[in-house]
Amino acid sequence: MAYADYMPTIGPSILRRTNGAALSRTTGAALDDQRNRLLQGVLARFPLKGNVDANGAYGPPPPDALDQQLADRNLRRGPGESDASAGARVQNAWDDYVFAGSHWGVLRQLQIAGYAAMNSLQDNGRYAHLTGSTGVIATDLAFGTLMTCADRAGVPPGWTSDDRRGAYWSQWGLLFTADATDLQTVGGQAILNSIVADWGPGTAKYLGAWVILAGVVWGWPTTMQWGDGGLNWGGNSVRFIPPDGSPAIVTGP
Amino acid sequence: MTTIADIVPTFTDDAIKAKLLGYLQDSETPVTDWNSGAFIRSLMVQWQQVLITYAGVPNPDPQLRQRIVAGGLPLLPASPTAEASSWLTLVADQWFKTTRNFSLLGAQVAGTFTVQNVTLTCDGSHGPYSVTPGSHIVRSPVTGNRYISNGSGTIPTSGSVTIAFRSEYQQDSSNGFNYSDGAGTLTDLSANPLPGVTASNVAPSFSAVSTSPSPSVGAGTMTVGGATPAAPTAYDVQILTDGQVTAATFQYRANGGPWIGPNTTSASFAIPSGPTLTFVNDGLGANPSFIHGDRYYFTSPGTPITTAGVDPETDAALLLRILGRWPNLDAIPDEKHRAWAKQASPLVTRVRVSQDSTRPGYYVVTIAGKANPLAGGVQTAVQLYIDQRESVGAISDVELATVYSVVMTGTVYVPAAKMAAVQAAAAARWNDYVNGTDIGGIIRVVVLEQFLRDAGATNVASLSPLEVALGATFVAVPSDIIASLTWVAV
Repeated sequence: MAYADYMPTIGPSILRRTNGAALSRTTGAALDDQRNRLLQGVLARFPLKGNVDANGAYGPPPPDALDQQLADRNLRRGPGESDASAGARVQNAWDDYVFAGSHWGVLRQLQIAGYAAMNSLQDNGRYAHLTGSTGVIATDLAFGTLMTCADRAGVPPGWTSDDRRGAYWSQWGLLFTADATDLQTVGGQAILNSIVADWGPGTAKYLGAWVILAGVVWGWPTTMQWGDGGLNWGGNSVRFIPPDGSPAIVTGP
Repeated sequence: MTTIADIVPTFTDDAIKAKLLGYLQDSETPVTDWNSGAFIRSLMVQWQQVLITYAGVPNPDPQLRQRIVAGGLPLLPASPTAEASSWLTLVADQWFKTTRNFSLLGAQVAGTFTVQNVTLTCDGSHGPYSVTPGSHIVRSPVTGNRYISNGSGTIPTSGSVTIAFRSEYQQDSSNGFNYSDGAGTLTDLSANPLPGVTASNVAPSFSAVSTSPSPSVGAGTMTVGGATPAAPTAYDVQILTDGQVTAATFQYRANGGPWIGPNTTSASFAIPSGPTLTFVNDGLGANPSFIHGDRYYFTSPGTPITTAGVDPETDAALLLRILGRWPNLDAIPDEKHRAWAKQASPLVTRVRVSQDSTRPGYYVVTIAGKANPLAGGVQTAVQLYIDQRESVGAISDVELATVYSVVMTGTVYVPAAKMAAVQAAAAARWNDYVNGTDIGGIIRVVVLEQFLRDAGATNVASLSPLEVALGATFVAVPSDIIASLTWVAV
C-alpha cells in the first residue's frame, strides 16, 4: 500500500479530516516518492532489470548507470550499442572473462568497440581474425598459419613483428588490413591500446598495431613471396601504433 | 567502527517511539507523555507506524532499508522471507547469470511443473473430441491433484490419444504441493466431462535407459523392448569387458538380485521371461563402444511422468551455485590445458601436458580416456576447444596417447576350488589399476602380486616385467592376465 493511502488511515482524528487528510496524503506521497527513488537507485545496479514500473515490469537501468556497470567489469559500450546489448554483456561477463588473453578475447572486444579488419598475429606462427559479428566464437573466429610468411635465412619461418624474431618468439601484434577513423585519432589509438592491455595475454609481449594504408607489408598477405605481383617498391604505406601511447609512425608515402 | 547492523538496525515499535521522544527532547521539549488523543501523541503514533515499515518488526510493508542491503550483498544472512529470496533471485540472475530453478517471470519462489502423459479413450458412440492446451482437466481421486492439458490432439471415436497434462501448481512439497501421482491414478474427468471418454495415465512398458556414470564412458547405446516381466522389475546391466557389439560382454540382474552373466552383447539379447536388450555401436566410430564398468539401468513398467516437478531451489543451494561461478584461480598453464581437455569431452579422463622442446611457445597435449585410443572426433573437439581459449603466443598440439599393452607373465598358485574366483577378482583389480595409470606413468608388478594374494593365491613366482615405465605419450591397456599368467591349481 502506498504511504499516500496508508497515512490518512492511521493519523489522529484531526489528520483524518479534509485538510488533515490532505496533509497526510501529501506527506505520504513524498515518502512514496523517496521510497520509489530508493528502489530505483537499488535496481540501477542490475544490467537488465535496472528499473521497475508501477505494474512491476522490469526495464533497463539508466544509461549512465549501465555505463558504470560496464566500467566496473572493464567493459566498454560499443558505438551506438543499445542498452539491451550492453546489459547482456554485463550479465554475460562471467562467460567472457575466461577468454581473456586469447585471440577471441582481444578481437571480440575490439569488434564491440567498433574496430574492424584486424588480425592478431603471434610471432611463433599463428594468426586469428573474425569472420562474423554474431558474438559466437564457433562461427566468428578463424585461425590461420603464419608459417607461410616470407622467410629469411637464419630465422624460423613465421610472422616477423620486428628484427628480433626467433629470439623473442612470445611477441604478438595486431594488423589492420584497412584504415579507419578510430585508427587515425589519438583517442581511438588510446582505446585500442587500452583494450589490448585489458584483454591481451600476460605471457606474451604486445609490440603494437600495424595499419596497412596502401600496398602490402612484409609478411602480409601470408603467402606472398619475393617477386610476387603487388610487391611494388615505393608504393607501400603502413601506420604503426606503438603500445605505449607515443605518436603513431607512418612508413612510406 | 560502524557495522551493517548499525546502519540497518531492526527497530521495534518501542524503539522508534524512544527515538522520536529523544528527538523531541533534543529540541528542548521535556514532556515524554501525553494524554490519550493528544495531538503530539497521536502524531507520534502515526509516524511510528510509518517508520516501522522502513526498518521495523513486524513488517506490514517491505522493509526497504534491509532490502537495499540484501540487494547488494548476496551472502549476507537474510531472514527467510519471500522478499529476501526474491532479491537473491535477482542478484543471482543479474550479476551471476544464474537462474533459480524457475522463470523470473513467474512466482518469485516456486518450483517447476510435473508433466504426465494421459491416455484419453473414447467409445464407439461418441466423439471425436478436440483437446487443446488448457482445455481439459484430469484429477486423481486418490490425492485430489489436478492436471491441465498441456498438449493437443483429437480423441477419435472408438480410439484413444495420449496427451501431456501439466500439474495445476508448481511442485512445492514443503507446502503440500506434491505431484508424484502414480500410473493409473489420473482418471477423473468430471471437471470437463466428455461423454464416452475415460482417462488414465498409463505407464509405458519400460522406463528410459539411464546410465552410471552419466553420460556413460562408452559411446554405444542400449535400448530395451519386447516382453514385459510378470511383475514390476528394476534391471541393471553392467559391461564386463570392453568391445564392440558381439565382442563386449555384460552381466545383468533383476531387482538387485544375483548377477547373471557374462553374456555377449548383441543386437537382440532376450532376458528370460523379460525384455529384449539391443546394443548398438557408437555411430561416430568410437571403438570400443562399450566400456567395462559402465552400468545401464531401467525399470518395467516405466512411469507416465515425463517431467518430474522440482521443488523450489533453496537460497542455500542458489548461493552455492553463485559461488561456483568464480573461475578456478589456478593459473598454471599445464592445469589449464588439463581442465580444457576434460571440459571439451567427457571421454577424456587423462591428460599430459608438456612443452615442445623444439618449437618455442608450443605445448603438446596428450589425451587418453578409459578406452584407448580415443576417437579422432574427440581429438578434433579437444583441439578446437583449446585453440579457442589458448593465450595469444601459445599453440597446442593435441595428440592421442599411444596405446601400450601391458602383458604380464609368471606363475600363480591357487587352491583348485577357488581358481575361477581368484582369477576373476585379480583380473578385475589389475584391469582397473592399469586403466587408471596416468599417461607416461609406471606399472609395477608388486601391485599385481598384491592383487593376486588378496584374491586368494597361495604363492606367485617369476612375475615379469618388474616395472613398465610408459613413454611420455603412452597410455597402458591391460592384457588378459588370465591368459598370460600360468595358473597352477594346488
